[in-house]
Amino acid sequence: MKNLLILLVFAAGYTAWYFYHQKSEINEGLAAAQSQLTDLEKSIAGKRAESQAMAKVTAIQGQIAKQKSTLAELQAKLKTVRDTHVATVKEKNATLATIRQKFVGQTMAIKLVTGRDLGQVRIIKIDDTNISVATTSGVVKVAPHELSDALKVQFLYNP
Amino acid sequence: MKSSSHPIRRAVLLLICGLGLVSCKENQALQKQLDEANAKFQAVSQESIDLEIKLASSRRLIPAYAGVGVAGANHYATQLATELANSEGQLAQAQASITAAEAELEAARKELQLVKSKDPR
Repeated sequence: MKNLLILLVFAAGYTAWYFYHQKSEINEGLAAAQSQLTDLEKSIAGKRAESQAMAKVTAIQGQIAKQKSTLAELQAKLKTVRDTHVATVKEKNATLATIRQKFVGQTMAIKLVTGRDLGQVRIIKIDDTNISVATTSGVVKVAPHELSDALKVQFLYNP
Repeated sequence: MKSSSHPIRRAVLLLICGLGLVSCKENQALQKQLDEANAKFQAVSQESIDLEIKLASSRRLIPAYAGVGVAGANHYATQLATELANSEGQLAQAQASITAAEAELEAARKELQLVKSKDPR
């Protein structure tokens, strides 16, 4: 009976030592793991910040690339519109020249807004800047602003 | 003697079992904490490795003059933001130019039609 009691006390002591030892080991491991984790968290914080900044850089670069592409499209469109405008103006000028050319050789009475009466004249040349007419006294160059409103309309100087 | 020893033996036995159980539970709880801490450490380590791989390729995007690390990336991001703002200005300018050019073209087309309509043929 006494021996059994001693055995129990011994078993209890051993068990207590075992659990204490196990607890100490776990506590040491836990402290070491937490310390390493803290160090790692400090180290990774910089990387996280750098990664965020890099993500921002990538996003902005993507936006810039997209905008450059849009800009190239707009510039191409602008060039097309300008080219079409130039072609339209050329066609208008060519049409004007063709229409005015039909007056060359015609004879008509011209009186300028200044009051000068050129009498019956023959149109020998007509362009955007002048009308050359042959009068009895020679060739006279008439500027479009010297013509009456009716003649300006007729010669398409104010279409 | 026999009758008095039984209660003591039972009490000691119960005490040993009780204490053992309590210690075992406490150690299990601590072991769980340790396992959690180790798992977290592994996760953060993996994240660190992944970040390093990602950064290794991203760092090539940053020109040398901008600097290195977070400061370099932030500096370059600021520079790119300025470039983006300029680009937005260019876009607005191009859009305005197109609108003006389209208006001019429309006017020129009208003039052409007007001139053509006055052709006596």
